[in-house]
Amino acid sequence: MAGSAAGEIGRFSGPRSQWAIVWRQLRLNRAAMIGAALVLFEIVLALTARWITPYDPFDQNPLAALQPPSREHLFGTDDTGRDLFSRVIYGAQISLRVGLISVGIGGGIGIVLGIIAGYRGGVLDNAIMRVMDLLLAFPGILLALAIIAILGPGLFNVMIAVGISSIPYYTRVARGSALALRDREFVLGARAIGCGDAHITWRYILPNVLPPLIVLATLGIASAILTAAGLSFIGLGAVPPAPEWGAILTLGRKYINQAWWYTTFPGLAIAITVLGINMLGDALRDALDPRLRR
Amino acid sequence: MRYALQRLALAVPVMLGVSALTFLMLHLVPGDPVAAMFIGHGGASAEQMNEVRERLGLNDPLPVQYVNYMKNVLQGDLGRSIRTNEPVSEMILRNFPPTLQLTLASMGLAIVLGVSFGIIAAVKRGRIVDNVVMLIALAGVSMPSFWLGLLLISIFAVWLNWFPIIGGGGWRGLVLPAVALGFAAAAIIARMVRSSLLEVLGENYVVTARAKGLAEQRVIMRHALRNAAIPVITIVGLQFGGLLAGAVIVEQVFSRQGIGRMLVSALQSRDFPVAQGGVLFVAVVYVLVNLLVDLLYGAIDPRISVER
Amino acid sequence: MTHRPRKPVDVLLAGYRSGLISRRRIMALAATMPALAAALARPGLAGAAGAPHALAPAFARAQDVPQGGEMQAANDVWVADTLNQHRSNFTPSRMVARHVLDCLTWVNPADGSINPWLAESWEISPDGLEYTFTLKEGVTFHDGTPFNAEAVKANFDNTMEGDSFAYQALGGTAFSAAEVVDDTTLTVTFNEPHATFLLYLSDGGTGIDSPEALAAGGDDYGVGSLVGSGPYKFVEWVKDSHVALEKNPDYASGPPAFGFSGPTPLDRLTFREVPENSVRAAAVVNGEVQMARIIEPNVPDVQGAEGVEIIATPKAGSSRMYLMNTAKAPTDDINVRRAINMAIDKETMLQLPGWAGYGRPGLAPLPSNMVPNGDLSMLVEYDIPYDLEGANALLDENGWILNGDLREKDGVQLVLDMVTTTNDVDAGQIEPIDGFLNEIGARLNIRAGDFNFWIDTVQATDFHMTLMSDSGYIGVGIIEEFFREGEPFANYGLANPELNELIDAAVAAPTLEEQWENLIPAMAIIMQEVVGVMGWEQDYLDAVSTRVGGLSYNEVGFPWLYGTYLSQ
Repeated sequence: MAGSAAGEIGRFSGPRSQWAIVWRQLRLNRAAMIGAALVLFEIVLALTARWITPYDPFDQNPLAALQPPSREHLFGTDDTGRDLFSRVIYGAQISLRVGLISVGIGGGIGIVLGIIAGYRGGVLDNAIMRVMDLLLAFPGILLALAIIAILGPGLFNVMIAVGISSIPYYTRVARGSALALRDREFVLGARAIGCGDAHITWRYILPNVLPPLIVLATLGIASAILTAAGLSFIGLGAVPPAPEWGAILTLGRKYINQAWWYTTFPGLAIAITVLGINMLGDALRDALDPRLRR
Repeated sequence: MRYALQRLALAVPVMLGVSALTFLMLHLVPGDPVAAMFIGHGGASAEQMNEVRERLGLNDPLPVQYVNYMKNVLQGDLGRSIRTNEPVSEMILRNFPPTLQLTLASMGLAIVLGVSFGIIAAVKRGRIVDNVVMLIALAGVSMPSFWLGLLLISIFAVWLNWFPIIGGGGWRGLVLPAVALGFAAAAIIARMVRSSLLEVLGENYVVTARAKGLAEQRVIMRHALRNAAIPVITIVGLQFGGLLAGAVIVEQVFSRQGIGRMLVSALQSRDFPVAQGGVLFVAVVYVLVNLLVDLLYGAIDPRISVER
Repeated sequence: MTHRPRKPVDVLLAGYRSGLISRRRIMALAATMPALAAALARPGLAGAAGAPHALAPAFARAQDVPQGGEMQAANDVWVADTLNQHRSNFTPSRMVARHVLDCLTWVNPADGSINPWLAESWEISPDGLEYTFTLKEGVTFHDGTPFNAEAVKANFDNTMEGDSFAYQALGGTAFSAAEVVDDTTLTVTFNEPHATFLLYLSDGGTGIDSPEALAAGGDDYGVGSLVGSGPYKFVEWVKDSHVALEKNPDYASGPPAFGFSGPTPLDRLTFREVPENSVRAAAVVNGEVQMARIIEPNVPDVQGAEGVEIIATPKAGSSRMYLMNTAKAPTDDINVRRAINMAIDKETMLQLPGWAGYGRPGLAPLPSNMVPNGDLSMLVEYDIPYDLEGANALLDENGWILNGDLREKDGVQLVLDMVTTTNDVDAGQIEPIDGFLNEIGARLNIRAGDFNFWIDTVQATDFHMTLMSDSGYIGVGIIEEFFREGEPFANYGLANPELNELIDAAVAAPTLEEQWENLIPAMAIIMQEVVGVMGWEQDYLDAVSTRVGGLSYNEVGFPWLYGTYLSQ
C-alpha cells in the first residue's frame, strides 16, 4: 500500500494539491459521510458535555439506583443512582482523549523514527527496524499489557502503553514512503540547491509521507479506543468512578441479567464510535490509495 | 528449502530480542521483587533478603543475569511464581491447552465465516447482499469482544439456555467464547477475501477463463480463489496472534481457564516471573506461527521464494 | 427474601437472642406465627454462656433421604493455595477440606457449644496450660491408616513446621508440645493459656490427615492428594477449575451431636470455581450447579427464579469496616474521621444494590453474632449516628473550609485514597462511600487491585481508607490482628497502650469468660478512637436449588454438606 501511494505521491505537496480530489471523492462516498457524521457528532457531544448532560456524571442518588431508561434518565441509572446518559456522554470525552493521545504518542514517535530510517538508511535504518520487529513480535494487546506491568494500571498509563505498542505500524509505513521519496527528482533537486536535511524532511518528505499515515492514524484511534476499553474492562485501565466506557461496562456486567441498560449503552457507545471512525478511515484509504480507486 | 532456512535464521534473533525485552521488563518494574516475596510473611531482615538475592543471582551484573536466565529458559525453566511458588513452566503447560483450543476454534470459525461471506460479497458486488455483508463486517471489527461476549452469554446461555453458562469442558462450552473472539477476525478476513477476489476477478486470465465459457462457479473456485489465497493466508497468520492476545479478554468474560487469565491475574498481583514467562511464551508462539505462515506462502506460491 | 429455614421459629428465635432481630419485630412476627408466640412464652431463652455462635440456620436432618447423585457448589475461588491445611492460609480451602477431614471437636453453630467428634472427651488443667484428650477408637483414614494419638501428634507437629492458619489455631508460639500417652490418650501443653483452643479444633484447618499420606505426599500433599477420615474422599483438584470429592461409603465417625450419622447420601460432591459473579448466579437458576455463593448485586437475578432460594447466613468474622489510617493526613484528624462517620447513612446504604437489603448496620469491630448472647448494647454509646448537618458543622468548626466542591485545610484537601480490591469495587460496596463523602466536601480516590495489591499497599500504610474484614470464628484473634500495635495487619496508626494491654489480656486469658471481659472494653476504645466506619454486619448469601435437602452450615457460615441430599 505504501509503495503504491508513493507512486502518486509528488502531487500531494503541490499548491493545488490532491486534497481537493480526495475531498471530492469522500463527499461522494456515502459510508464516508456517515462515518464523518458519527465522528463529528461524537466530538460535539464530548465538547459540549458540560452543558448538554442533565446530571453530574459523578452525582450519586441512592434512591434512584438501577432505574430503567425513562424520561428523566434516558439511559437509566447505575447501581449508585448515577445518570448513565450523562456518564456515557462524559465517557466520549475520555475515549476521544484516549484515542487522540495514544495515536499522538504512537504516530509522533513512529513517524519520526520511520522518516529517519527511510531517509537516512544504513545502520540507523537497520537498528530502528530491528527494534520495530521486536515490538511487532508481541501480538495485539500483549505489548500494552507488558508495558502496563511496568508502568502500573491507570488510564494515563494505558494511553502510553497503547501508544507505544502502535509505534512500529507508523514506523513501517513512514519508512516505506520516505525510502521511495529519497531519490525522487524533487528531493534530489532540493538537495542540489543546498537545502538541509531538516528542511527537506519538513518541506518535501513529510507532506508526501502523510496520506497513508493519516489513514493509519484514523484507524488507530478506533483501535486505541477499543484496546483501552478492553484494558479497563479487565481492571487495568480507568478506575471507577471515572465514566470510561469500558469501566462502566465492567461495573455493569454483574447486573446484565437484571439491568440490560447498564451495559448496553456504554457498549453501543464504543461500537458506534469505533464504527464511525472505521468507516471514515476506510473511505479515506479508498480515496488516498489510487490502486483501489474504482 | 533455502528460503525456509533463511526465514528460520531471521526468526532466531527476533526470539532472542523478545527474551531480552521480557527479561528487562522484570528489571524495569519499580520495587524490589525480593521484598515483595516477604510481604505478608512477617517481614524479613536485611541479611535474609540479601541471602535470597544472592541465591536468586540478583546481585550479579545484568548481562550475567540475562545469560543465566536464558540458560534456564532454554532448559524449560522459567522460574517460579512469587505467589504460589509453582514453576512457571508448569503453569504455562496447564493453561496453554485451553487457550490454544479457544484460539483454534475461533480461527476456524473466522476462516469459514470470513471466506464464505467474502466470496458472497465479491460475487454479488454492489448489490444489497454485498452491502449488508460488508456492513456486518464493519460492525464486527468495531464491536468490543467483551461486550459481544456478555451479550452472547445473556442471550444464548441465560435467556435461551442453548449453551452452558459456565464454559469448561466439551464443545458446547466453546461455542460462545469462540464466536466472541473470532467475530472480528471473521470480519477482517471477509473484507480481505472480497477485495482480493475483486482484484483477481478483473485480471486477464480470469477474463480468458470466462471467455472460454467456463462456468462462473468453476472460475471462482479454480482460478480466483487460489490466487486470492495468499493475502488471505497472510491475514490469517496475523490474526492468529491477535486471537491469541484477544483470549486475554475473552477468557476473562467467560471465566475460562487459560494463558490470558493467568497473565492478567499475574499482572494484577504483580507476580512478575509468571507475567514474564507468559508474555515470552505467547510472543515466541506468535513468532513461530508467523514463520509457519511465511513457509506456507512459499509452498503455495513458488514465485515468492525466487523473488526474495 | 426467600429464606428457607426448616424450623423457621428456631431461626427467628436465634436471631432475636443475638440481637439481630429487634424486640418490636419479633413481637410483630409472633402475632402472625402461633409457633413463635408459643416459643417466646417459654422461659429461659438464653444463648450459650462463653462462646459466641454464628447463627447458622438450623435445619432438621433426616436419616431416610434420597441417595446418590452429584451436587455442584460454586464459589469464585475455592482453593487459592493448597488443600494441605498445615500450609494453607485461605478460608474457602479450609471449608472444602472440612468435607474430607474429621476434626477433634464440633462446634454446634446453633448454640456455640463445643461437642465431641474425634475427641470423645477432654480435661483442661486449672491453669489452662494442659489439655488431655480421650480419642475415639476404631476410626481409619481413607487409606486404611488407623486413627490414634500418634496420628494426631504427627498432625500437630507438622502444623508447627509451617506458617498457616492452623499454626495460629494451635496457638502459634503458645503451643508447647503434643505427647502420646497411649493409643487413645493425647496431652497438649501450652506455654501460655490458649482459651480458644477447643473452638479452633472444630475448624477444617485443624482437621486430622492420615499421617502416612501426609508424609508420603510431601510437597504434593494437598495438591494431588488429601487423605482424612471424613464423609467424603478426595478425587482430584484441578487448579482454577474444581475440587472433586466422592462419598466415603464406610463413614461412621461423624460428630454425635450433629443429628445425622453414617455415610453421606451424595455420590459425588464438586466444588466449582466460577469467578464471574453474574454467571455464578445464573448457573444456579438454569440448574448447572445446585448451590452458589453469590454477591449481593445478584440477589434480584435469583429472587424471582423458580426452584431457587437464597439462604442468608451471618458471617463469622469481623464486621465489614471502612478502616482509616490515623497516622496520615487528613485522616490523622479525629474530627475528619468523626465527620466521615456522621456522613455515612448505613440504613440507606444497606438498601443499595451492593447490599440488596442484606446485612445489618455495623456497630463494633465484631458483629453481634460474634459476641456472647449477641449483646452489643454496652457499646451503643460509642456509636456515631448519621448526621449530615453535624458532619459539615464539625468540619467547618475545625478549619476544613469548603473550596469549590472540596474542603481543605493548610493546603491538604479532603481527598482520601481508598485502597481496595477490584472485587469489592465490583460488588458495589466502595463507590457509595464516595457518594456519601461528596455531601461533606470530601472525595475518594479509588485505587483497586487484586488481593495481593490490596494487602501489600495497606501493609505499606499507603492509604487513607480501606474496606477491611476477616472471617473466622475466634473474635479475639480478629481484634488482635487488626488492632494490637505491632501485629502485621494492624496498619492504622493506633498507638494506645491501654488498648494494647486489654488485647494482650484477652489473648492470655485462661477462660473464654475472662477473654470477653477484656475484649469488650478493647472494642470500646477502638470505637472511641474512631479508627473507621463500622460499615455493616455481613451475611453470606447462597443461592440454593430447592432440590437440595439436608443442608447445614458450620460455625464459620460456610456450608457443610454432610447429610445433604438431592431430591428427584
